[in-house]
Order: sequence, then structure tokens, then C-alpha cells
Amino acid sequence: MKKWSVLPLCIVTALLLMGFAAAAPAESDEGDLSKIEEALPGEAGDMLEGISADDAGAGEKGIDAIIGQIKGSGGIVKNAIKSAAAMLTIVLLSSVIASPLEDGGVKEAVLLISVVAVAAIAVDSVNSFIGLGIEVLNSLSDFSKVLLPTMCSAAISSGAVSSAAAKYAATALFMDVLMTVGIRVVMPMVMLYLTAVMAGAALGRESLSNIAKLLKWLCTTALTLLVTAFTLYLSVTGIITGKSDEMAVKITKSAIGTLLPVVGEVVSSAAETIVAGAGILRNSIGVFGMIGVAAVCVTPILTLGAHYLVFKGTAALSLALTDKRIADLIEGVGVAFGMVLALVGAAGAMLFISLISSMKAVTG
Amino acid sequence: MSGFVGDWIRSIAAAALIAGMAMALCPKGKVQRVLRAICGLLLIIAIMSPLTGKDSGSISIDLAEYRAKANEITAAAGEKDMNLSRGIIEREFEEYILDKASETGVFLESADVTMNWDENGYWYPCEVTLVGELSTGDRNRLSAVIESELGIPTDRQNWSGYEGD
Repeated sequence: MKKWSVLPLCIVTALLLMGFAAAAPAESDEGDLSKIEEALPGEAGDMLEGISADDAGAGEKGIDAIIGQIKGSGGIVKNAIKSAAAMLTIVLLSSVIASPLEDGGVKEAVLLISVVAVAAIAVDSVNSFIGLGIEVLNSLSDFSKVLLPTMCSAAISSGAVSSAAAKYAATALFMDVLMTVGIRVVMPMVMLYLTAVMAGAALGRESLSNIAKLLKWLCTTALTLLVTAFTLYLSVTGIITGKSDEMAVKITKSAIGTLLPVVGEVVSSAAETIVAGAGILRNSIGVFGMIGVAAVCVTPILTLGAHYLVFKGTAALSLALTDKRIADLIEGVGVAFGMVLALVGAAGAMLFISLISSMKAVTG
Repeated sequence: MSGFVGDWIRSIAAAALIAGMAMALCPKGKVQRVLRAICGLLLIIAIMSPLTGKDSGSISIDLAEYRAKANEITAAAGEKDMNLSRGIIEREFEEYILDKASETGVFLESADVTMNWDENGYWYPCEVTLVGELSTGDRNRLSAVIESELGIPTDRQNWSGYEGD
């Protein structure tokens, strides 16, 4: 999961950009902005209630709302600790019962019962978190279907005609691929990974652990490749189409230059007014879009992250108390949370990257 | 999703069963080693089958769809900007003409400028309708200013209400 340590960096960059870019649109397109506000899914909509996209301080207020949500997330950590405490209780009981026993059938049976008990707790929480992961992906996909076309339209008006259209097409396609890979490949792989981890712990087979490792590697590699391919595609497309936009602006400017001075001045002043207004609108959409994506992701990321860390810690404690197989099982459950976390993070990161890329497009 | 997962697990189980039976029936030796490789490949294909669900053909169709959607957005945004810029430029020229008339001490009731779209991507004034009670001398003076500064020739300047009518 170390590869996903870039996600916080991405979020911090985006939050900094929000601070710099937040400005009230001079000629805001109320319709576009209210469409984005209305498209925010349930909890994110409640979190950002009262924050308007055309508000000059939307970025700052949004960050405050998200920080408030993080501060009030004690219940999430408590829930994670409850599951971990239940697992630790089983580990302790198993350790107390099994330690005086000789190696053999009875000790093996106690271990097997402990593995089954830990697996029962794990399956229950992982099932609900897989549902949570799919729900977040769907929410992000629905939100992006309103956000991306609006952002694209504003970016086109601000002069980025080719690059905005290309970035929109790329982001929409990659979001579609991520949704498909996430729901049809990663989620089933997480379940299969858990099955392999549980079977490996129950039977003590090294080959099953190796299958689990392979599945984890496949998941992380698939997500890493997808996000890397998206970033590269967006960067290359941005460079190529950005040049074509610059060229188009130069051609128009040079054609305007051949007009009578008064006419040229009026025409270029009108074009500048439209580009400036659209630029401000683009920034407002980008800032509100990033806040929206962060609001959609914050609770699931906190929930999955808290479970990931607590289960990792529980696995480390268990190693000191009982058989390595149970500790490996608890760690495996933590990794399953990490895999769902990586998927949610990848979807959020892709939308962040797309918005930042559309916002920083410099034209003219 | 559970239906899909069930199908997927069944396909892996079926692949594993076929592989296991084939391995059990096959005599030990070189043939079994080859068969083991084939069975491994079969299992990998079964595991990766969800990936083939979104085949490259459908991805390229999706890209074409998104490009078409991007073109629609581009066209709609272009049309919106054209209308916006036409309105701004028309207003600017009308104000300019009224200011010029005022500077020369002439009262002009209104100036209605008609715009044309140039293929290089901008609007330019092509015709104007002016309403006001002007003397022939004032009309000619203002007409000359409009022709020299805005490039609208006299034959596309429509005057109404001046005393020469």
C-alpha cells in the first residue's frame, strides 16, 4: 500500500490550490454552479450545506467543513477498535487455552476454532466495507458525470478548446474503466484474497499464502498502472492539445490585428472579458468540485484507513500472544481494507488530478 | 455484484476441477509437466476473466462516445460564447457610435449594429441602422467617422429620421 502514500500529497496540493484559486466568478453561470451543488451525493451534500460554489470563500469553508468531519470521526475509530478488541479477545482465549497443550490434534483444533472465529468477525466487517467501497465509487461516478462536462464547458470558454475536450474524454473514459475494474476485478479479488488468507490460516498452507500475495500484488499493480496511465495520458494530451490551443489563439489574435484599430480593440476586449469570466467560473467549479470529491471520500477513507491501521496493530500484538497463522489472518484482513481504500483513493485521486489539470491550463 | 462473484468463483472452480482431473489422469513425466503449464494458464484465464468482460473493443467504443460527448460540449460552449461575444461587441459599437455623435454635438436616438462572423473566429460590424433627426452635414460627418473607424461603408449605413429623408 506504500504506493498510495502519494494520495495525501495529491490531496494537500489540491487543498493548497483551492486556497489560491478560490475567487467569486465575476460573470458566474448560476445554472452550471447550482447543477454541481445539487449533484453532490447525500452525506457530502449535508457536509457542504450552506457552501455555495460561487462563494469567494467556498474553498476555505469547504476545507473547514471537511476538517470538522475529520475531527468528529471518533466513532469511526471506536468501531474499528471494537472489531479489533473482539479479535484480540479470541486471540487471548486461544493463547490461554492452547499454551499448556502439547503440539498435536487438540492444540491444532483450538487454533482452527480461533481462526474460524476471527474469520467470522472479519468477513462481517469486510463485506460491509466492500459495499461501502462500491457505494463511494458509484457516488464519485455520478458526481463526475455532472462535474466534468460543466468543467469542460467553462475551460473551453476560457480558451482551452482542444485540451479541455480531450481531458474530459480521457477522465470520463478512465473513470469508466476504473469503475469496471474496481467492481468487476478488484472487489472480487479482495474477496478471493480474504478467502485465500483464511484458508491459508486454517490449513497452514504456504501455497495459499502465496496465492493471497499474488492477488494483493495484482490488485495494487492494476490500480497503480491505471492511475499512472491516466496521469501520463492526461499530461501528454494536455501538452499536445495545449499547444494547439495556443496556436489557435495566436491565429485569432493575428487576424484581429489586421482589423481597424477601433474594431480590433472592441473585439479583443470582448474576447478578453469572456475568457476572464470563464476563467473565474472554471476556478470556482474546480474548487467546489475538489471540495465535493473530498467530501464524498473523507468518511469512507477515514473508516477504511482506521480499520487498516487498527487491524495492522492488532496483528502485531497478536504475533506476541498466539500462533503466527492467526496474526497473519488479522493482518490479511487489514490488507483487504487497504485494498478497498486504495481503490477509493484511486478514484478520488483521478478526479483531483483531472480538476487540477483543467484548472491550471494557461491559455492565450 | 454477488451474482457476478458467484459466476466468477464457479468459473474458477470449474477450471480447477478440469485441471485436477486432467492432472490425475495424466501419467507422470514430460507430458504431465506440459499439462501442468496448460492447466496453470487455464486457471490464470479463469481468474482474469472479469478483465475480459470489458474488452478492448468496448473501451474504444466508449472513448469514441466520450469524444462525441466532448465535441457536443465544445459545440454548445462555442455557440454560447459566440452569442455572448456578439452581444458584448454589438453593445460596445452602439455605445461607441452614440458617444461619437455626442462628441460632434449631434443627438442620435439609437444605433443598431448588425454583426457578421469571420471565419478566423471573431465578430465584426457589417451594417448599422441609425435613428435621429440630423442635418445632412451632421449625417455626412458621422457617416464618415463610422466608415473610417468601424469599417462600415456608407451603403450599409441605414439612416432614418434625419431631415434629408
